[in-house]
Amino acid sequence: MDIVDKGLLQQLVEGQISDIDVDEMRRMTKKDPERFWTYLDVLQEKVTWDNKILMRLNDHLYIVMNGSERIVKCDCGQEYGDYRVNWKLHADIQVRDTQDSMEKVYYPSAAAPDADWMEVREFYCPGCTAQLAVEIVPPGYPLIFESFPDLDRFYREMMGKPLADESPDWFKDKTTDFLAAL
Amino acid sequence: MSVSKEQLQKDKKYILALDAGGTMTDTILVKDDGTFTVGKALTNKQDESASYKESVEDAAQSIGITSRDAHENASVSIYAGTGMLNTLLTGTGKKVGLLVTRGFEDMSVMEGGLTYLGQTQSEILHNQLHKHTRPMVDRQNVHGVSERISGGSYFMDKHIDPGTVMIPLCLKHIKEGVKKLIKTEVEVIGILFINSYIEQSHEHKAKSIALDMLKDAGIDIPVVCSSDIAPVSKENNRLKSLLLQCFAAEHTRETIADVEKTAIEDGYSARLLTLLSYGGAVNVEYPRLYETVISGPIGGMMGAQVMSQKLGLKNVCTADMGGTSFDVGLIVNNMLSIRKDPDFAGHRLALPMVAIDSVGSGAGSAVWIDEYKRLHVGPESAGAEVGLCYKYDKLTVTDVNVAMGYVDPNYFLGGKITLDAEKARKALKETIADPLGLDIYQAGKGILSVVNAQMRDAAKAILVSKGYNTGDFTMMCYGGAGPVHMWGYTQDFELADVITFPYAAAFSAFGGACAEYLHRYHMGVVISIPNGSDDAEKMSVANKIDGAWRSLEEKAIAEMASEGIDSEDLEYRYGFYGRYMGQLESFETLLDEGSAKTPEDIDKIIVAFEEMYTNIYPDGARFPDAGYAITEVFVQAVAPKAMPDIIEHEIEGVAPPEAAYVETRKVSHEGEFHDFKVWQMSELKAGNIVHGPSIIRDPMTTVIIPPEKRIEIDKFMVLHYK
Amino acid sequence: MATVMKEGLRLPLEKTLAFKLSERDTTYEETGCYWGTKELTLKDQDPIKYEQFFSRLQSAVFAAREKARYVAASPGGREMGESVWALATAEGDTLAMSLGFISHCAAFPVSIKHMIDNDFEENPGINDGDVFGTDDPLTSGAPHPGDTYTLVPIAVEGEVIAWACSVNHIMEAGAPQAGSWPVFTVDTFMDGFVFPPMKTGENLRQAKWWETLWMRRTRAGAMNILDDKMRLAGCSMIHGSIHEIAEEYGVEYYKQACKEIIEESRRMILDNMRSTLIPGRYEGSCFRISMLKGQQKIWKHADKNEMVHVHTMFSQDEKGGIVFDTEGSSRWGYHGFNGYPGGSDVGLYLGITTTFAHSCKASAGVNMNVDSIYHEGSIYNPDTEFASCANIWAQSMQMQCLSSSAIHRNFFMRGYLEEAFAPEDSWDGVQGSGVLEDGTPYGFTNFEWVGGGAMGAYPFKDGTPCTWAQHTQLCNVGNSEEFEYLIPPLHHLGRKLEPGYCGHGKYRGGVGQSSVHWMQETGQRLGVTRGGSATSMTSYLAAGMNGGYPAPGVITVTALNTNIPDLIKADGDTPTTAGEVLAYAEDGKLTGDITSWKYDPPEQSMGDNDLWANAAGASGGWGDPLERDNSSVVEDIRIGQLPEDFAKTMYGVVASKDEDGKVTMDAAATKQEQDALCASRKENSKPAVDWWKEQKAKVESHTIREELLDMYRSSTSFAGYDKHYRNFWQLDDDFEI
Repeated sequence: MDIVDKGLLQQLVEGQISDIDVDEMRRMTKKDPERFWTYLDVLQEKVTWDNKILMRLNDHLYIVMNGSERIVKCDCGQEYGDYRVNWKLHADIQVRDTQDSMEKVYYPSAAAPDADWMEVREFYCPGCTAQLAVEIVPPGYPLIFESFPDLDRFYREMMGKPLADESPDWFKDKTTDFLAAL
Repeated sequence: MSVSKEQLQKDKKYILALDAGGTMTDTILVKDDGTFTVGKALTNKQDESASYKESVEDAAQSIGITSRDAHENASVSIYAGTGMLNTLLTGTGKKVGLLVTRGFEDMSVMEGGLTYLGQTQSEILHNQLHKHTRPMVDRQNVHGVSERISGGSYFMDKHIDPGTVMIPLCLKHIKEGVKKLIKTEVEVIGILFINSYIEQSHEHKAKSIALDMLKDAGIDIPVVCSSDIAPVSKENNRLKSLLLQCFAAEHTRETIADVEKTAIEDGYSARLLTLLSYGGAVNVEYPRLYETVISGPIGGMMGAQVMSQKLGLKNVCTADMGGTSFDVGLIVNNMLSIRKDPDFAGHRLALPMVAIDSVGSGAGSAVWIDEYKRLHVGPESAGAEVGLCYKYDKLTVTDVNVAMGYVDPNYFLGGKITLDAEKARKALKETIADPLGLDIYQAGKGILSVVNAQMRDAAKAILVSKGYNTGDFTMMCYGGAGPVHMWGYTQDFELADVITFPYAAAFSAFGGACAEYLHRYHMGVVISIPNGSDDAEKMSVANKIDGAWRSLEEKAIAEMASEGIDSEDLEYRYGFYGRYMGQLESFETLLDEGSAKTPEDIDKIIVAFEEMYTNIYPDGARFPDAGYAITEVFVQAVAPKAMPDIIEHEIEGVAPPEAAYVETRKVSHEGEFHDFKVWQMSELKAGNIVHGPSIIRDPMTTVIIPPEKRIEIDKFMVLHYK
Repeated sequence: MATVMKEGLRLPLEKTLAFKLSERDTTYEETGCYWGTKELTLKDQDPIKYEQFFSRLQSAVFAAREKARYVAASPGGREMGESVWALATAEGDTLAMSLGFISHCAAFPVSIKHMIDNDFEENPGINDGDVFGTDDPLTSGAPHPGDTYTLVPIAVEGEVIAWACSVNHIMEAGAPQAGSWPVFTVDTFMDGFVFPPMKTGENLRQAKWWETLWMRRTRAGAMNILDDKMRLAGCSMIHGSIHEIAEEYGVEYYKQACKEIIEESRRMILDNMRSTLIPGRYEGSCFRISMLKGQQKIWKHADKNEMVHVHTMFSQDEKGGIVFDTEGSSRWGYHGFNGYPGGSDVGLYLGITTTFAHSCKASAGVNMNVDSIYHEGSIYNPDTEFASCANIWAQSMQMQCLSSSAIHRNFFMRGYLEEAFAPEDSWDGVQGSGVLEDGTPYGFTNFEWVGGGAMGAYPFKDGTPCTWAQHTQLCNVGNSEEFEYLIPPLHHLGRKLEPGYCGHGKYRGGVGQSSVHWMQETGQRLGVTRGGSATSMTSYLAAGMNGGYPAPGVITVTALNTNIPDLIKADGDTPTTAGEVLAYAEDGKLTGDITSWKYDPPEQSMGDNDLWANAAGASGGWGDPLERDNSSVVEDIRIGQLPEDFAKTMYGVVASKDEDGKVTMDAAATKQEQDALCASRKENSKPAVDWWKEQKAKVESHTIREELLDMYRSSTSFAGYDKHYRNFWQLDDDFEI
């Protein structure tokens, strides 16, 4: 196999692909560079809204064009604002900080983290309550900014198709500014 | 009268031997004068008895008789195949139920973590490609039984003795388990308990209870104990052997029975034999039939063993080049080298298996270059589609041989198939030569040198990795494509001699005809010989070993009798597996005699071990200070069986007869065109010398003899490449 | 021109190792190519000869492993992939390696540089067929003293052109705490038998004193000697093959081709990185508890509990190579969870090598595409030469999973889902020492759950149990019959999968595996501890994959003075997993002193019928558990990998299994449960911004347990992380953390 067509990629994204096909993809001597574009097609068809998807961040979250902005958006339509701010700050959060509540998500009970030291943070979409992320950290630990892609560099250098609105500003973490404004 | 005697009847003048490969079923019909003819048929995976008969028919016709004539006059017919492999790969085996020691119920799911067996280096490095092999038993049909027997330890008599019952066998669990298995309608029940290779009583007790319950339920299905199937250490490998026996072997038994039935209906009057993975032939009654799992390739190895005895060769490296793979095996001191825990079809088995290493390059291997302009050969293969010159859609090694002129497009399979040489040349130019900026003959030369190098390195690796000096070995070249590439993979390869045969293409089938009627019996033991043991200690060791040998002999006599063989006719060979105390691997050590009655006999055993060990390892790897451990003893029992007779021919003149000359053909060899004389194999005589540049052609293969080289034909019609 | 004496010849400067080393570095600085190799001349002139040459080197190292490993005494060395053989250049850069511990190639250049920098060429001399050994984290790049190296120089006419290298993980390291990974260490003097690079033999033979040293300084001398013989046997073979090859191709071709091989793979690996990664910043964290309070009374400065923090930032340099910055990770401490840069790289390269080098020549070309930053004073680069590294693997394998996790997120974002999974696999070794009834002392390590674990979930498929091992491609958990042979008092009452034990999600991780070790005939004494990665106090990594839960840590359960004999007599229903040990205790079926440890237990003195149960190798999930389809949950119950009650709590699936193993689901009740779970998310959650304000108050009022405040103080003592932390909580610069 030297190229993965849209149909196959759809099966992969939907989790309905055969192991044989997956192994063939893994055995490609070189990954097909077009894959990213096909991926965007497949995803754009999945979502109900029309903002142009620039990149997939997460099972449900995408970085999309919104007028002149680049924002994070859930496939349910919920918007999370500027992608340069850790999207978790726009999500709903449940914290499991008792042994009892932790043992509801780990089995056997001995596998659950220690509530005297750690807490389980679950992040839900305010729109569709999908669980978007889980963190298990000590109390007082800053939220983890899992993925902050340099879109301009990726589109220009790796994909050879620079974005129209390139600017060095797009790769500046704005989380601090956002928090300062609270 | 016993089968073996019947097989020896002198009035029977033929031997039939078949190799049922994935694509073709080859027959070798050995005539009473020792000469053979060859038959071929496409393998019929649905009904092997059909392709069996067709192939025998084809061989018979070539000497103007019918398959019935052949069968009526056959003293023995041997059938080696890949049936068990197909059962495994297609998952069409029996529905298995399993009883295991409580707490080990997930063994078949975990597989000890061996998720990369049979993969190449680059695949193994690629974690995402690791995966479990399709299990031979549904986890739901695995039930635990509380019981525990000690296996003994590194500290020997300083800790719990081997065989000590630590937890009694829980009858309740057995009954509950069997009850469930009856309910789920399993077709065979396997039993594996931890350390049963040391002490079988728990497994056997469980078996008898299961059989009683089945009897009461009016169900007649086999119950198999791991300790009867593979009584050796390492529960994961033992389980795989047990499952293979339960899942696939009974199936194969049925297939062979069908083939036997067909043969008998066609006039055959003896038992049909098949080949064991460690050499030797057995009939369909053989209890551990899973040991025939790779009977196909073994044929070639056994043929090689017989030929090496005939030709007085001590050390032989076999090179079997077929369409899809290049298999290399070793014969050292006339013995086949045996692997104890071979990997097979994604399973690691506890099963002695003739050591054969494979590389994925054969005549049908696809040739391609990647974006880094690196040349690749295989592993993808055209199989029966040959190449672009025939039915395949990619360039193959055969295409290159055709393009270069080595292989005559109009004489493939004796002209039954015509190959498209033009198409091959065009593809070679466009897909390889142009991208690499070479002309097509340089490209072809390059490709062949890569293929040949791969094969040469595989052959060297198996020799070197075992510490042998290649110069002590004669290489036997066979398989359809062997003689075509012989010149290449033996280049810059220090070897004692390089030989091939007129019947190289069907050599594996020929080998089947040469198989001994042999069983191997082995027993796990825990015996230590501390450094500086006194005579008393040595004496007790001697008693243990001797006792083990004797009991294995008894087992052999009983089992062979059940296959209709007279104990009078049996011969025995003896050996053991030993190691330095603390080592985990035990090394096979063969002995001249099989009795241990005195302390001196133990000294002899130690000397034999040290000799074997220093054969493999540098002196720095010896560790006598640690003392020795013996982990397994074995006996091989051999019954007589009719053998093909490699007849001697009159030596005639060095010059090949006129009649043998066919034509002269232009061939691009090593970057230059040469006029190659073409000779007909069947017309050549013992004593002839054929000088290069020449080609000896035969319907089934082509022998290439480059300039400056020659083939000398000896009195056995063996071709020596010089 | 300066010259040095070698084997009685005068060796021109350019043939000395010292010269080669500095040349390699300056040419790389200037050109960015290995040894300044801008053109692959030999490859271009005769690609086929070049490929043949490489395949000769490759088969030399394969053959070495295939043959030598059978000399071993440790299952790890022989078949569990806890070993590797390699061929390196004169400077120690790897050209070809066997299967096994491949990332250890990062350590070879460290040892060799140490020898060169310390004038070993002069004294003791580096001659053809000499044998050097080392296991010192500071000077040799060994991750920890359990990993023991053998290095054999290959010289032609006095000029060293290559090294045959080997490493394996030995059974017992000779520390005060017996086994392979002492956890209760204060400094390097408690790490065990630590030796910097030294000449231990000549002409491919070890000196006799070397064997004596093993016998005297470790508790499994005979076994460690056999492993030593195993490493040397393989190196001897490589030594022989390379002399042949060098003669056949000529020394000049050999030297040039080796440079081209490494430069070629450097380029191909960089290309693989550029074509699958997405430039950006990917943050990762994980934690590892060290509970020494009360254990270290003699060494007061070590008598405390510490939460070790690992913080990483994964990004790309201007070429597209990987930059991996560990700033924010804790300062080094008086415990075993420190390492030095060489050993830290051995950890880091695990995932990077398998991910980017499997499609090309896996050589030192990998290393040149990775810039790993270990800040001075941190656990990965202590500003003391005496830090203990006994258990660095514990959190350096977690650290490497953070880099893999970033890589796999990139695969997902770029559409290469087939390669993207939750790269977690916790591991656990049971170790200790004892004295048999007759006075025979011994030490041991049971490697079984080091040998392999479950693979994490993919964005389209569940993970599978017992499938891979981060530290070697040769996943293999060995055989009970073999471990019991080596470790007399420990007998498996169970060795199987632990149901429900994984990170859950839309696609769940593979479940981990568990052992119940039953002590019999413990003799005069038996002391047992563990070494390994994250305990269940923390998860394996801090962040799960896209809504899935991260893999749980390792479970340890001990049961002393039990009624196991009664259970056996009754009906043989003994517990078979760690989870069952606790369940049996809860039902009162199993009696005794039963403890579930969320951290490394201090050495447990064990007697007959005591149990040591552990569970490890669990992996992480992917996606929202409530999106998992019910049929998968039902199948999990059927195959016994998920308990019914937990199926309800986690997935809201109400199903029951009858005695024939048939599973039936109550659709209505399931719908109800799942709606309830969804609703409880709404009830129990709040906008993150509100939560942030509450937490900020907590941070400012220091209402966090002292050990955790210490952790934050330790991490914020590095300027970059201090800024990160203060920015996030909006703390003034003068605020005391």
